[in-house]
Amino acid sequence: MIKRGRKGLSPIVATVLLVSIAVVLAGIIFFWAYSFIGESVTKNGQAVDQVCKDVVFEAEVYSGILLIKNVGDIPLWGVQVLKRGSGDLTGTTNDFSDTGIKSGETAEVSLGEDNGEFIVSPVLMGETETERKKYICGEEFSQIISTA
Amino acid sequence: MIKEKRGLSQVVATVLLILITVAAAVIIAGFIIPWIRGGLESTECFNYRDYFTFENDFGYNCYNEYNGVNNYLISISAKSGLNETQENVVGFGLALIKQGDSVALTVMNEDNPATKGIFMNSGFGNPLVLPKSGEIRTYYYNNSDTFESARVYPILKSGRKCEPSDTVVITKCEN
Repeated sequence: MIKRGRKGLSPIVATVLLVSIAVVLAGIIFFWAYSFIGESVTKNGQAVDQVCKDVVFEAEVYSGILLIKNVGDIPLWGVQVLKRGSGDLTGTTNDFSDTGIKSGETAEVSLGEDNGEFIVSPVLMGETETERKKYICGEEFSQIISTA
Repeated sequence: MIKEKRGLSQVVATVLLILITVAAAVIIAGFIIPWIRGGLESTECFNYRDYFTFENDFGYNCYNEYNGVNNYLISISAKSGLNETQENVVGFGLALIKQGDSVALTVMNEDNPATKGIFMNSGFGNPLVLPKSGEIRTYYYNNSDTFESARVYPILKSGRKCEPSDTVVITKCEN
């Protein structure tokens, strides 16, 4: 009877190999999936787009000046003011200051001699782990102001 | 009789095995790296899947027929959101489709409308402008063909053209 030598990978080498393969595969899948998730932009610990619903502000127009008052708890970095034209809805984003306006504070935006319907949307400053990013809230969080 | 035991020495066998392993790794990497890279690039458009949409508020996305030529008015809006999303978009493609045929137009910021054949409805001589976050822009285009639908797709800074973000049925204008 021929006695065969029991050759093969030792259990330790086999385990190390399996763990290495698993780690490499996990790394590949992570990098592939990471771009789907992206770097989250947050404000007060929440995703910045979820904070828009908590923004409360008042907007009024006096002789070409748009007066914005923040009556909520979320600081307003600025506002986007869009004007409805024939087939276009265009405008500008106005930043208030380096800190934005806090609860109870007011800010002014000059509308010039423009008249018509304006859509005022809040602009928030969100943050990632490395930088700050501006976020314009959607039309559902905006106010419509008409001037004669 | 004792047979002479011939074969590769252990050193040569080890070197050969290592060489074969390295060659195999290089060949496999040649397949896997482009596959992973392709996968990463395909996610670049993920944040732009609904960035441009056709806007019906102005009653456009329709055509007027005049002397056998159809004048198309197409309103396109850009989604509100992060500033950097907007900065990464340099243009959009507009595909006008009829049965068995289509026309593809490309609108890049500050393009000359005369060379593109598509114009700003706000002024035919104005340079082409993209809608920014939250904005709506209406474009004018004429063609003797009658198109049934249109698709819009974002073009990113990297030059990548994403999948269509919206589709609209084009009808005859009511007024």
